[in-house]
Amino acid sequence: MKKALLLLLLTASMIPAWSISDTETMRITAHYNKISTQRSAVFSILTTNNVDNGNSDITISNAAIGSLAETFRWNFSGTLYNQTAADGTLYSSMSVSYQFSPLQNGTNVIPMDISFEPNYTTLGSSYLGQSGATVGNVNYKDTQSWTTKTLSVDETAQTATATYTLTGTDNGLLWKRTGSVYVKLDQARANSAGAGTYVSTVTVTVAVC
Amino acid sequence: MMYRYFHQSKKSLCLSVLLIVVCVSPLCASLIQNDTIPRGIAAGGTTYTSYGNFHMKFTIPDTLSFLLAKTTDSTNTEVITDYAIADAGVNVAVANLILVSRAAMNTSFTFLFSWNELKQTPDIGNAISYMVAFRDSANTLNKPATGTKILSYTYVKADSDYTSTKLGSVIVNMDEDSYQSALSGEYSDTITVTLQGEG
Repeated sequence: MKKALLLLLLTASMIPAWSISDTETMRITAHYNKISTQRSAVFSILTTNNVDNGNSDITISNAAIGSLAETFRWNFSGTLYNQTAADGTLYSSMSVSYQFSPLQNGTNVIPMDISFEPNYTTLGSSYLGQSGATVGNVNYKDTQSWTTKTLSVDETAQTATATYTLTGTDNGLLWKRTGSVYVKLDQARANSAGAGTYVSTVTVTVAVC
Repeated sequence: MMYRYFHQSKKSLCLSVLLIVVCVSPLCASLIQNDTIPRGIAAGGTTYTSYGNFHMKFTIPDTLSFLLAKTTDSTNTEVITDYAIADAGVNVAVANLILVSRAAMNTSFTFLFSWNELKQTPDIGNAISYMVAFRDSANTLNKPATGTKILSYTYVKADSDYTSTKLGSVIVNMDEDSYQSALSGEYSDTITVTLQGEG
């Protein structure tokens, strides 16, 4: 019994005295599980230098006065959800819709034309281009359509919607699409406009099926 | 007693661990929130999403300039630096005053005209006195106070035209008596126009 008490006493004396004023450290790690590439898609707005713009402001350059100047780009990538058309064709599609408010400073407006141009399309590592490509003995073709390719925004907001459809698709291949948006400011109105910053709000909506 | 000490130590340990967890939980949440989350959409059937808004901006810097243009200039750009006066005792338009500004409507601009007298070249003390006036766009002749060689004219921007605007004509009236009694020769002077203020 004495030995046991002695052992317990020795053990107790080795236990540090904890108090709330102690400083301790603890390594914390966190891992974010990104959305699986299956059935997922990512859309982003890029600057003309291919930098993700986030939701920052984009500057229209002076080169846009009187002629089209590339103002921003967009990037879409994702492995999409197969749908079956009436003829049995498998397809995936996405659409991107832009709404532009008038470019204005107070009550002053500078009319502008907006042009939408497609860039490249890839499926996996294959470049599709306009005529498509064969991947794994399946022909894949990407089509596009704009409700209007050039949009004129004067005193009222305007919307343009593009729909892209990929036929012959199969789950697991990554579909990438990019495009450029050009802006042209009315030369006479821009040259005669008062000093100040003219702002247009761009609202982007993306639909995938 | 040893048991109590041991028991208290366990409680302290538990309390400390609890405190650590309480302290680091927000940090953990912060780390998760700050991770790179792809902006966009998770598909599955038909999915609609708003990417969000951003702004396109175009900035026009303020510009302010003016010039004295030829009275025969229809483009308001031909600068005049010399004018030969032929008549005395009459109002002669020697230049157009042109303003270029992107200032807003109701902005006022004050121009100051100053001059001396026409002196003979080479200067041997002979001179011809003259007056400078300004005929504005309403055809009003703005004259200097009697006996002075300075004229102030204020223009208030009345429209939203930011291109070149002709404000009026600079008028010179050579004193006839002084001209008639002057010795023959070439006489000259410089009219200085200063944009004094903008408000």
